[in-house]
Amino acid sequence: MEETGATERDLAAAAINARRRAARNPRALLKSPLTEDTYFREPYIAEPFRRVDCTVEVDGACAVLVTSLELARDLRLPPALIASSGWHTHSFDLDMGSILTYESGAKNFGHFMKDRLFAEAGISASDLDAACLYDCFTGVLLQNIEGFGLCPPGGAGELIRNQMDDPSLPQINPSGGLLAEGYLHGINHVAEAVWQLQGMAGPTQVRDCKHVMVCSGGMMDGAAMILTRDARG
Amino acid sequence: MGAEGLSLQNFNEALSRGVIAVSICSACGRQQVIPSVSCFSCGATQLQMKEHNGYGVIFSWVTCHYPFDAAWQAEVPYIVALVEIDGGGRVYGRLLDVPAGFRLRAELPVNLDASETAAKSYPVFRLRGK
Repeated sequence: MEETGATERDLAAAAINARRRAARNPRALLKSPLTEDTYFREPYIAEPFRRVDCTVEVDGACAVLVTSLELARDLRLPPALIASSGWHTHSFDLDMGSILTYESGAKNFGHFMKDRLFAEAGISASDLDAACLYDCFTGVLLQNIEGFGLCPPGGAGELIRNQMDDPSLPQINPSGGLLAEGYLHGINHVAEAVWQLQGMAGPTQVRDCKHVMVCSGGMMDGAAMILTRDARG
Repeated sequence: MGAEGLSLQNFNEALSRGVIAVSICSACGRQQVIPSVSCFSCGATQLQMKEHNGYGVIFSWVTCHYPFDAAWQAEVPYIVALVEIDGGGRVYGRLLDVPAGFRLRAELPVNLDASETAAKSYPVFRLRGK
């Protein structure tokens, strides 16, 4: 927030988006609606994070079957294709340790891998129909949106507010994400992305969904994929 | 100490005396605060331990309204700061006596409060010039 000028209203946008989308998701844990008014009445846990800025711990499981395109096309359900994937780390440290050595929170792992990720997939961030981005806290979602270049630094709050009512923009965390569906460490983002591309996301389905980005991680270490709908399907 | 790097035991022992211990990489010169057997910059394992003067600036902070440990319930809300110490490296610590209504920001100068640090066995900082 010091670096990009992000405000608590931008954090609120992430929490509101999560609840609004979770309300349509039968699997989601937190479906009660949230407005800016009710957001700002929520108690702080670790300021600037309030209770609704933090994910909800949950027990659950997802399974993703990875196989060759040839075998996948032989199955009953249409496959999602991995158009590109990658992992980025930082220095000799791991995970939370990077907080002690990173140069800029506005340049998280996504900043360093986005060019290759999108180039290998042959698309740009504006081509995404949906993005299932790791959101253990609202602030991490802002970092991922900006790190992967879905908008300029400091613009994530505005993008989240705009995409809620503009289907031409990438739809951010259509399931409600880890913030509201539940914290399955990000594997539920992968499952949601696959369902979106299979057209099986039900009430959270993004219309004509062809390209979805998924990521896990928020600071200096993390992984990401771009998944696409099978053109033959 | 010396070529053994900075162990958690060394780090905690220094804290109990009100001092932050750091290590300096013999290969690349980098200073780091995290107890480790190797340098985060170059991976070298020849690290020299050194006592730091406790001066630095705020890198980031949160105000805890919910205590991480139940023993700190009476202290909420308290501030946990990530401090970049002079010469490089970051360390977490409490930040005490921030005046009500004072707007914290990155880069504000702080220094270690040795007696509070020794009493608590975790780093305790104060704003410099406040």
